[in-house]
Amino acid sequence: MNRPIVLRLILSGLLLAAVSGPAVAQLNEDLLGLSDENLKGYLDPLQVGLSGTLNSAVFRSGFVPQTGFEFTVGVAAMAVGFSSGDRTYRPVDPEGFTSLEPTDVPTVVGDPAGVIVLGEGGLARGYPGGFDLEGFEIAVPQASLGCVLGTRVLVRYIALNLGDADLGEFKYLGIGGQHSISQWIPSLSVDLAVGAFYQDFKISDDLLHVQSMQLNLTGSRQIGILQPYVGVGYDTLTLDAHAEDEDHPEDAIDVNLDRKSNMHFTLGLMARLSILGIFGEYNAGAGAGFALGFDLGTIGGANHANRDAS
Amino acid sequence: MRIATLARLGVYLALLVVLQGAKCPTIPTTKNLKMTVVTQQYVELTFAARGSINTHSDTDTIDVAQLRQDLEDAGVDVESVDSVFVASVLYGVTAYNEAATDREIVDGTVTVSRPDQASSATIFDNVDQPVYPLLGELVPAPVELGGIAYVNDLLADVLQAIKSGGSEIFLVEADASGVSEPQGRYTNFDWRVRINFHVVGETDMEVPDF
Repeated sequence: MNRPIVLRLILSGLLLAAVSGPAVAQLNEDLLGLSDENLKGYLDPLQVGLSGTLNSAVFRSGFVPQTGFEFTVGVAAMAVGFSSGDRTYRPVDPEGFTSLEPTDVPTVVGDPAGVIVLGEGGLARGYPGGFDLEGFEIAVPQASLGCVLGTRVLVRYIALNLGDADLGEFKYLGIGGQHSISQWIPSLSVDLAVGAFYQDFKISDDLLHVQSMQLNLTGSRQIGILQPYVGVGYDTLTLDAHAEDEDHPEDAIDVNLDRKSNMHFTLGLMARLSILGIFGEYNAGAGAGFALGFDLGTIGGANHANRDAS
Repeated sequence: MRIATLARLGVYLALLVVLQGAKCPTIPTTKNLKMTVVTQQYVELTFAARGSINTHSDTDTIDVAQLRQDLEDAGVDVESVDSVFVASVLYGVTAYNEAATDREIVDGTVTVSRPDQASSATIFDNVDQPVYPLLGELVPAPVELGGIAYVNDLLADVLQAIKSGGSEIFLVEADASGVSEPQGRYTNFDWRVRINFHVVGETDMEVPDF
C-alpha cells in the first residue's frame, strides 16, 4: 500500500517535532481502516492543539505608535494541554457494521493501546492507538513592522524542505496587523488596539492544509519596563487533508475537518529592556496554555511616551 | 528605581527559564512508545455474469510473504501482530454491458471455501439487488455469522503463517449463485465481492514528549 498521509498530518501538526520516519509510514497505514467521519474524530484534537498554539502570542501589546519606525524580530513558543476528553472519541459505525455496544477509542493524542470493536454478524473493527500526548507545542518566528497611522504589520514565516522525499515541502505564512484604537480616544487610560491575523500552512501542497484566522482586541498599559496586557479574540481554524493511492484511487483520503471557532482570552506580561523584549502569557482558547518568547528590535514610542508623561 | 531594578531581575530570571528549561520549548525531547496499529487488507473475488448461467466461481489468494512485506513496509513489528479478522464484506458491479438497465439478481448467495479443505460456508445469501445502481459502487453485504467465522478461521491460519515466517499462499474460493431477472434475456455484467480484513499489531514509535 502506497498511501502517503496521516503521520504526515501529525508530523506537520506537531510542527516537525522529531517524529521518526517509520512512524510516518505507520499512521498512514493506520488510517486506512477509518472512515472519513472517524478520521475526523481521530484527528480532531489536532485542531485543538493547532488553534490553541497558532493563535497565541500574536498580539502582545495594545500600544501601536501613531508614527515612528518599528521593526522587531523574535520567537514565540506556545503550548496547550489536552483534556481527558481529547484523548478518546466515540467512532461512528461505518455502513454495514453495527457495533455490539458503544465503545470509546483513542484519538491521535490518546492511549497508545488501540481498541477492537466487535460488531454484529461476527465482524469487528480495529481502531489504532494514539501518541499519548499531554500537550502540544510549537515555536515560530514573528516580525513586526510599522508604524503608519497607528498601524503595524505582523508576519510569521517558515519555508523549508523536510528532507524526506515523502514529506515534501513545508510552508507556513502568517500575516496580519494591528491598528491603534486609543489614538482615536485620547481619554483612554490604557492602550487599545484591534488586530487581525491570518495563518496558512501546507505540507506537500494540499496533503495537509491548515488555515486560521484570529480577530483580537488587546489592551495594555506601560508601567516602567513592564507592560501587562489582556486580549479578547475570536479564532477560527480549518484543517484539510488530501491524499491519493495510485494503486487504489477509490481509497483516496479527502478529509475536511469542520471549522473550529472559539473565543480566545489572553493575560500576559511584556518586559522591554532596550532592544530586548520578553513576554509570557496565558491563553484560554481552543485549549488552555502558555506562551513565552522574546523579540529584538526597536519600537517607535513617541505617543506612548507622551501618554506616560501625561 | 527600586521597582525597576526588581522588574529587571524578574525579566532576567524569566529569560533564564526560557533559555534553560529542561524541556526547551523550541526543541522538544522525544519518548518511545509501543502503539497499536491497524492496517486494512482485502481479498477480492470477481465474477462474470453471462448468458443464462447464474452460478459463478472465482479464487483469490492471500500471499503470506507479500502480506508480511506490506506490514514491514508499514513499520509494523510482525511478531507483535495478534489479531487478523474480517472487518467488512462489500460487493458491487464493475461493468454493465446490457442496453436495458433493469437487470436484477434475486436470492443472490455467496459461499466461501478453501480448496485445501472440504468445508465451505455461506458468507451472505437471500440478497435481492438491482444490478445497474451498483455500477462503480461497493456496498455492504448482509453477512452471515457462520461465513465470517469461517473466514476468520482462515485468517487465524494466515496469522500463524505470518508469525512463523512461512510463505504460504492461501486460496480463497467463492461460489456465487442467484436468479438473474429478467430471465430469457442475455445477462452481461461483471461484479465483485471484497472481504476487508484488519491486521492489528504494534509498532515502536518515537514521538515528541511535551
